[in-house]
Amino acid sequence: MRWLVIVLTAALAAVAALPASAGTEGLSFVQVVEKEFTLTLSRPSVRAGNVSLELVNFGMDTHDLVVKGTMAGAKPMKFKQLDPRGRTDRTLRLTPGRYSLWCSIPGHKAKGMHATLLVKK
Amino acid sequence: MPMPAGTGLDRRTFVARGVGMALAVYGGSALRPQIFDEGIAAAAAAGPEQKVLVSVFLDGGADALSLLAPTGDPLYRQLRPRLALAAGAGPAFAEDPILTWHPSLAPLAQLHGEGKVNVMPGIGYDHPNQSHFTSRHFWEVGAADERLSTGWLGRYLDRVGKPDNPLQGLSLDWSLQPSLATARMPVAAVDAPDRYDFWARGVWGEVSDRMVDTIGRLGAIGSDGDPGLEAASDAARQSVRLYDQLTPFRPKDDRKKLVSPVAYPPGDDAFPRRLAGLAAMLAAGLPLRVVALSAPGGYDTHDNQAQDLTDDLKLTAASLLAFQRDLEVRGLADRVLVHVWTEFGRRAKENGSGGTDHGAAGTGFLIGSRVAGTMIGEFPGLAKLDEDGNLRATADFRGLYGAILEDWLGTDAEAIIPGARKFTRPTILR
Amino acid sequence: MATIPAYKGPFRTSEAERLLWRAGFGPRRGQAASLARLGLDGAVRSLTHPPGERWIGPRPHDDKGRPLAPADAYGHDHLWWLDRMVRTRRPLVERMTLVWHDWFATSNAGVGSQKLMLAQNRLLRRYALGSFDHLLVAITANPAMLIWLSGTDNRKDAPNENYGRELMELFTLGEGNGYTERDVREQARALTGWTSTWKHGKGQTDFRFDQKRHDTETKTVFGKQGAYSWRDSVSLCVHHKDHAPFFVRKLWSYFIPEPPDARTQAGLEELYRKEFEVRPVLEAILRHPALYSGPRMVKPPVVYIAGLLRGLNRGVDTSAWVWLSEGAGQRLFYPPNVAGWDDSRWLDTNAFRGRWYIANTALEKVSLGDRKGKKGPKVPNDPEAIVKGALAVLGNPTIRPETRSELLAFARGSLKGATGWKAESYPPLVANAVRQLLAVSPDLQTC
Repeated sequence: MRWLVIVLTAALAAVAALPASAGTEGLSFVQVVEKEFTLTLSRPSVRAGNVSLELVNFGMDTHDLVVKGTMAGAKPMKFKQLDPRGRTDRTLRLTPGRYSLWCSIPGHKAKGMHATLLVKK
Repeated sequence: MPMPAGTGLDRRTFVARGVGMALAVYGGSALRPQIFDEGIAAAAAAGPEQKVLVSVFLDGGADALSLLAPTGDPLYRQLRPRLALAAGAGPAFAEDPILTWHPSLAPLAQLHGEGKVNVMPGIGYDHPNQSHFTSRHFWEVGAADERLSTGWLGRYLDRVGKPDNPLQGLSLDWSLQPSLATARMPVAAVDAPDRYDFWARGVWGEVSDRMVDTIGRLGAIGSDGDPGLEAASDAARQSVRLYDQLTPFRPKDDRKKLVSPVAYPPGDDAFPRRLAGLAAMLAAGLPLRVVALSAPGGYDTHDNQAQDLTDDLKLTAASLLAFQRDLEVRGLADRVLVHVWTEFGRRAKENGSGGTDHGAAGTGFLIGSRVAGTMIGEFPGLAKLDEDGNLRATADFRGLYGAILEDWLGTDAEAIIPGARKFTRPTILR
Repeated sequence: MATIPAYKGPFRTSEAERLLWRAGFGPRRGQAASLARLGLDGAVRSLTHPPGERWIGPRPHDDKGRPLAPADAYGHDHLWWLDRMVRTRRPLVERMTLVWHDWFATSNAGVGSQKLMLAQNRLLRRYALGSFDHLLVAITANPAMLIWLSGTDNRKDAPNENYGRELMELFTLGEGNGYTERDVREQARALTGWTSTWKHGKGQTDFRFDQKRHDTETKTVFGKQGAYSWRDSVSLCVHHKDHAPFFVRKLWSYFIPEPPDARTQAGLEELYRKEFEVRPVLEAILRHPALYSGPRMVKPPVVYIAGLLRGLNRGVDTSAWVWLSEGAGQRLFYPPNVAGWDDSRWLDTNAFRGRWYIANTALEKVSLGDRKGKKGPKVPNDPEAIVKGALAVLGNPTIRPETRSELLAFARGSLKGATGWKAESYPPLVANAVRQLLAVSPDLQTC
């Protein structure tokens, strides 16, 4: 039941998000904003392919980001730790599926710093 | 979150790409057409004995229990099973047998042995705030007041400074350190005096020199009382005057680095380079009063504390020792006091990731040839932690500021630190 | 009705240039001359009644040639708006959007969503020249503003005074002017009811007014009593006797540096009070003698940058503008605090350095001399031609004769005795230097 709700919300949001996509050259952008203790994505879903994932720390503490696909064999991709007001980005090649994102600073994920990104075909 | 005291620029750490540094003068918005170099020269002539305060900030909340480890306290190993330093790992601390210096702080231990360091093993304030920005803000503005927008040193300069001497408050950094934020007097920021430049693409050599000179000439065209033109003209002239002032520090052709009489730690880090430049500026007679800079590294050690602290403290301490020796060789040591501070210490109990979380009372130092050489406040002890499990403060930073203002800088603390008389003023000088 | 003076002097290229800098982002090449031909009234009208928007110039992109993603990439929000300033056919609309961004200063540092900030930006643009009353209602309900000034944290059981205070202190009346602390508390009560839903990974969404969260009891505001709600809050402020004077003074100050004389102030207030419409007040300000014969104003950083690009006929093609603008003190969507940017501090010497490097980056694409082994165009060993060329490259801005003399003296001095290899190498160096000097001259830092 919950799974369905998540997909549905993401699908609706994805339709709305399409006009903001930058993909004419096959590169999309997603921004991850971190604060205490939240992690929000600038868009809930993105097209598969080259995705520039950017991490911005709007909080008052150090944060980082780990991105890991939920499919079998997926390896975690870790971003470097950021001081408040820091930013960093990496371009990842993402295949379709659901990806978990979270801050790996001890205790932060438990306090709410995690989210899901849906990568669509 | 309080806004950082200063010019209205947000506190950002996005790195500017390779921009050649220039001297940035802040404030002094009621700038008179008087040229700054006259002001600087006058100030230099008038105050060869002017005392200087250098503020060094350890960014992130440096762990007091690592800087001076209570190896003689049985609770220490219980609270810090992984992070506890072994007794004898670093030099013994002469004033309290329970404490041991972090091995990386051996250079400070050496100065302490010479009577040149006052240690504050538990300095902070009541109702500690564990947010970096808030706590740091309090330290910068000299009060537990989120809305105050001038730095405590800025208010000092507003009181005793001159409207035509932007070097009186110098931030050795890309931007203004908020402690120096004034309401009226001009202050300045320069990354390093040997990096001050006006570079233009496709221009070099004597044409470039002449170009910079012309900036000043354009600024010297009369503004006919037009305040907009005057502001733009003033800005141009001041920049060039200061560019000229810092000429001795700019590398010329083959001369790549500043030449110091002592050896500073090698490497790329800005900290030793800035201190070396500072000693040279003082020796050249530039009229600095208060200088602020940040120590290398980050001290917000939520994890990997052991390694991070070891490296960062090593460079910091070695650079501070070199700076002290530099001043001594140049005969300036009696005029300079260095204050090392951090926005809070860290929790007594370590966390699960080889690190520690935000705490309350932290460690601070006063370094110089004129200090008393004795502790300010005793070590708070691990038996009576506060309700958050943090060290209790045995000294208040506002009392320390009061002592620095009155005994070192020779000005009335009451006028600068709100409620100054409430706080015990420690003895800081011999 | 008090008559508001209008400028009666000659309306030449230099006057049209100033108008375009104050009411927009400076002229494109030749634009000042064609605007001057319309005369003062025609020129002002063309700005306050602009044609439909159409973009003039190449589309923006980042350093790697990629299109912008303003909601999803840091800095692209700033570049997106800068691009609008450069390519717009409606400069006054865009400039007023910037004015409202400062007036209702909201920072993404507090909001944490470029998407919501862009939505606010669209709102500000929609009301650029329209009804201030409607703008105020819309901004009160705007999600970015609700987050920024704690509107959604303001509940009937736990009132939060943040928005209620700034509504009066900064947006409509001025600090301590015509309201008391009691009014702040009562306004906060009237403003309760706004709420949102926290969605994991999305942040605050679904912003709405919920009657159940609203304090429905009677409030006393400015001495009047009623079961006020949030629309009443706004209306009470707009109709407060001290609002019109505040509005006029503040709006005027964006365009003219010295306050208006009493007669003008009274006339503008009367004009504004009719229907709280911005356009008629703006028209009167833009026709006022003080704009043309009064002292100069320092150009805000983004205006300076957009103007350089417009004059150079260059589009937004690098992300450097984000940090360069920030270095000069103005990062769009990140005002330093809710009071906005401080216009009186644009040009302390910190910013001068920032502007030096802004000019340097702006001119890099047209810098002269050999580049990567390719020979550049020949630059004549001729000081007059060099100065003339520099002026042309920057769109022939009006400068003081003394400034021209200094630039000429510099060129002459640098080329004097440039013999042998210098005769060949120096002219491009000198030309680049003259362009740089011109761009950072007090003449071009002000308008």
